[in-house]
Amino acid sequence: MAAPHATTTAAADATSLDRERALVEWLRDRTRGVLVGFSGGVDSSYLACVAVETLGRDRVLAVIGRSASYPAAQWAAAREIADRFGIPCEEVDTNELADPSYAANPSNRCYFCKRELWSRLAPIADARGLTLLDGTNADDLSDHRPGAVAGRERDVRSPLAEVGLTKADIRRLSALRGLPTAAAPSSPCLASRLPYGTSVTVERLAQVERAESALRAIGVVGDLRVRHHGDLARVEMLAAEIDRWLDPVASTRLATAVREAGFARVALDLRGFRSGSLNVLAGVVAG
Amino acid sequence: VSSPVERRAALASALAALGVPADVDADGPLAVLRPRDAAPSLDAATRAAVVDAARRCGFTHVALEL
Repeated sequence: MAAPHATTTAAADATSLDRERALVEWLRDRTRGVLVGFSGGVDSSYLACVAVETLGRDRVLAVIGRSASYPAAQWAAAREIADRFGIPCEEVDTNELADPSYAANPSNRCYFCKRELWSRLAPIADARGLTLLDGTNADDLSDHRPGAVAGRERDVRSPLAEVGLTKADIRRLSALRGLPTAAAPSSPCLASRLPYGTSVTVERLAQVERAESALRAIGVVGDLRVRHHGDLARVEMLAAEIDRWLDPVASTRLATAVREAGFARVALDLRGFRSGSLNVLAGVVAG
Repeated sequence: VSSPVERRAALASALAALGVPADVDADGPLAVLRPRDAAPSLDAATRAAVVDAARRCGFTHVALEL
């Protein structure tokens, strides 16, 4: 008799595989092909990979939108995945920072970012007869996602969500394919580190990116966010990591790394990483 | 606990009771602790107690300045 944990795991695997079969069927119906908005994150990497497996390279195009809010390390990871898994990939520059509505950083900032992204990708998809897809998954549907509105305005489809694939499913199925994103931390854009109402500038985004890169370089692993509170950087990391970085020597290294990135003050969040932490801070969602 | 000043004072008092003497800066629902000791002992249980105390004082976020 199988152990309870093994039974549970097997059932989860079977559910994930069922949902993946539904995804494959969904993709097969897009006979002219698909264009995937591609960030190199967990969801869009998996979607692009399955699309290529299902439709072949000739009917799939992954497109990266590049801007100051997209971390360089994420771009490099996206290119590596595209190369390694044979995903046809192009890039376009997006300029959401030039949009005052975006730069003002309202709580629906993501809408203006996605509006800009899809305004660049939709013409490419239209010209080639491709269905426009994003990597929204089933879990995202219950989250604060103003960017989804911009997708609907451009008829962007979200097949992962439509067939019920959750983040856990996607990680599990990504692992079966050997995708390096299977266990990767989630990777929202750099603007997500700025509290709503703090204007989004190239300088602030670069400051956050430098600080997070510096923390990776000294050994911080797992989910990590450097939240920008003016001259104060509030570091969120996995709760399991906090003990290690509160050690006097380690905390000095951490603070030095962040100060050298341009923050005058450094604080370590005692609760640890929370996805959507700034939504809680702004009262957009409950804590 | 309602006003920002009262919330900061209440949290500072709660921290002292937990053996973590610190001054409290506040930015809305974010509390930033400035410890009076150079290296306060903050094991997991103490951290949880600090987070809980902060929540009771109306702070959704609490961070320790390094």
